[in-house]
Amino acid sequence: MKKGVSIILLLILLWGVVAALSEMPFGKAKLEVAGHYTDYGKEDTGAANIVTSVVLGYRGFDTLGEVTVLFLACIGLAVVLSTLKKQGCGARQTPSLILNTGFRFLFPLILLFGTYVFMHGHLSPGGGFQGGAVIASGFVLMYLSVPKIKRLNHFVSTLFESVGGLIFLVIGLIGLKLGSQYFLNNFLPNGEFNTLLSAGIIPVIYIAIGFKVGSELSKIIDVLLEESE
Amino acid sequence: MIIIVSVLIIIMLAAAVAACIFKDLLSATIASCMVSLIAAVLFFFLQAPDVAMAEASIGAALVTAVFVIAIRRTRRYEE
Amino acid sequence: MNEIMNLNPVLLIAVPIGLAMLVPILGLMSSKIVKWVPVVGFLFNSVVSLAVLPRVLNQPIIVKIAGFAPPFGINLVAGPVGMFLAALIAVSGFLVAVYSLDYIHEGAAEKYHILFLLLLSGATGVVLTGDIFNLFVFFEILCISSYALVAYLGNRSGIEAAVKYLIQGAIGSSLLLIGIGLLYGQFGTLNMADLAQNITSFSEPSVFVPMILMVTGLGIEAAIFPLNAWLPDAHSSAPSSISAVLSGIAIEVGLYAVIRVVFTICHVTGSFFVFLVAIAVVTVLIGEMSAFGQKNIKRMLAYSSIGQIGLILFAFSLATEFGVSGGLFQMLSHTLGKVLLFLSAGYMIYRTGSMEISSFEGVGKKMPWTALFFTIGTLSIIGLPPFAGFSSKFLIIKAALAKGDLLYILLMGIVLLGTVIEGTYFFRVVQVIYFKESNNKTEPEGPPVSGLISMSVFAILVVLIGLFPNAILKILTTAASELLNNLEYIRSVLG
Repeated sequence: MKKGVSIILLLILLWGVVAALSEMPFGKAKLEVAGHYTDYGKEDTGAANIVTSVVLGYRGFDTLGEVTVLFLACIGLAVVLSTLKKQGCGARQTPSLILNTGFRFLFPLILLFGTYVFMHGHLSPGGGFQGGAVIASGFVLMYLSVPKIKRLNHFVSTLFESVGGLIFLVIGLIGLKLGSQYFLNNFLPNGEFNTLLSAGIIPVIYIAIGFKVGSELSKIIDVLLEESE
Repeated sequence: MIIIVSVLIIIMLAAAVAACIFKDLLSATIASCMVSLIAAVLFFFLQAPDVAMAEASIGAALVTAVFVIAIRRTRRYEE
Repeated sequence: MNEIMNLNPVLLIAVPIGLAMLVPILGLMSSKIVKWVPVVGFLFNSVVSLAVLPRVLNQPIIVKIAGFAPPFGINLVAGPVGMFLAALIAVSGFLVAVYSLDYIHEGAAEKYHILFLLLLSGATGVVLTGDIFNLFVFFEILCISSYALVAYLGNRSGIEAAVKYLIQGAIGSSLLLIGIGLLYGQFGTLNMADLAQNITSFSEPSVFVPMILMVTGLGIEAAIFPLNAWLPDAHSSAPSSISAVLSGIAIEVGLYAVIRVVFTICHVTGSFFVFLVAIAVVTVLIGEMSAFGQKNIKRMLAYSSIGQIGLILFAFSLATEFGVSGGLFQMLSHTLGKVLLFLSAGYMIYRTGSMEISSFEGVGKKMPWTALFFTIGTLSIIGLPPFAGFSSKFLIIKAALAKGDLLYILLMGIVLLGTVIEGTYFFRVVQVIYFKESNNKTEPEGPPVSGLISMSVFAILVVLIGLFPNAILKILTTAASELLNNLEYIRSVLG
């Protein structure tokens, strides 16, 4: 009975979703907003990567929200885990030679790649979030391979987190005061298209986000590991 | 091209099903990591490199790490 | 004064978020100043929102973020509804922050203040935004900070309640996101006014199903009847100051989002409202009847919130000007009354060391002020004159009668039955507080000054609004016309 009812409900839902999907114009340039982004994205924001021009230009306020969500997730995790009692679990295996050597070789490269990704967010694919996540995955590798880990410096990571977020916000507020009086307004010159120093405030914000996301994601892994040690 | 993509999709589906039925949670985690990795490759083929990068680093690396740590803290085998 | 009136409403969101990010740095320097940060932040928000509120009554302020015109960029719509709720959030946030100065002294206090700031800035974002995806982002901020705050005390029941809340909330967020995605795919825009312009009829399945998905997803946060399983646990295991904010603000913000989707975006008419009214009546009955059997004071208050949400939804579903302004008024009086109840209950629990209602025997003599504030909150929630709850309930009854339909009058009767049940269990608590002699001889002392100040301001507000409802009514009727007339909304945003 219960199963029957839920299957019927799911079928009704599926029918509606299919109806909605069939209304969507796949492969046609009907989407007005997206069309505007691809046509005018370059002039409006000065970023060569259209995705970045949407993420930090047109919808920069959403990105501020996403950055806050990540900050919040990190704080929330720390709140929940700090209340739990520490409990022991199985001993760690000592990492193998391959892992150790690979780590030494790859770790600097991963950090460099992550930095490249977030610095060139306005030119090539990627950006602050992706670059930060790449850096954090480098730290995951570090935790796997170094047996007696020197922990992440919480002072520094807290500083990066807060300062990164604050830079984003302060840039937004400066935009409110300067020029055309809009929050997150691009008040820096757009510069020469498709060079590192272009697209106004976008690279500055992406560097701040890159540091922030990198330190936050690494801190999440660090806090989780600390509790399980 | 289409052959590569279809092979990838088949592997991805197999990994997804495997992640559901494995009783060993560590293997299930690795299988779900594989789903993310192939999804990243497929995103790249669909000309969405930004999404591919996020999917590869978050879906394949960080989420797997979080799951592995959680398994270490709890139990490895599902009853 | 003029300077403040012309401030940009985006500051109401940006300043608390900025302060929240500043807290870790301040915490490294000194742990004493951290607890003043939310007070400062919400004092700023209260001043700004109250100063801007008269300005938006004539003409809503459209804030274009980064200077892109509405369908392309994100915009905030500081209309009468948004500013009214933002002011309510800011004022209650400020008073609860004052209360927390002395109330929060255990646990990771620094993180508490960050989460509190972000919870309310998320709520402000939801009520001010004019973009459906932006609403989702702020909704996530609101939800995630409430999950963490429910688990703040770290006891077993807290963690369990937080996990329950987290799972249901995550399902709700996914449904909301699917709904938004389906709408975006069809209409190619995320702006609420633009969506409303493109949606011609809500009854086509391609619009109806996304709407249902969104209403369900938001309804979980709003705790409308079949989706309210998480609420009593979550609200009763958080610290009292947080229970107050969750019960008084978070669920109402969820309900606001439901109303925004139903009224503005999809512009629902006719039979769907009958369905909503039915749901609302069931919510009232379920909430009040469950509250009746509770022995734990916080669970009782939490269940009573479900009943109140049902009442607010009932008022909105009448879809008349009286009904909607009555619903908004009920939101106001519920926020003030329920926050006051939770705050005063917080110190009664703290001093007696138990959440059982029976342990409050004799509190009326030992903590006269707290007991008085609790009683004022009780009387307002039940809806007795001259408190705020009376005016709002009276407006709702008037709206239901003005509908002229026998069905609505009958349903109103059932809702009033819920109010009678509410009166019974609240008076039972008041009776225990005042008229039962306590057995134990320990002398509980009264709450500290910060708690007394914040509770007394709430009590004064409840009485003042009850005595002079007409001052508020002008704002409410303007707000109601914004919700009911979506063409006006579209015109003001898209120009």
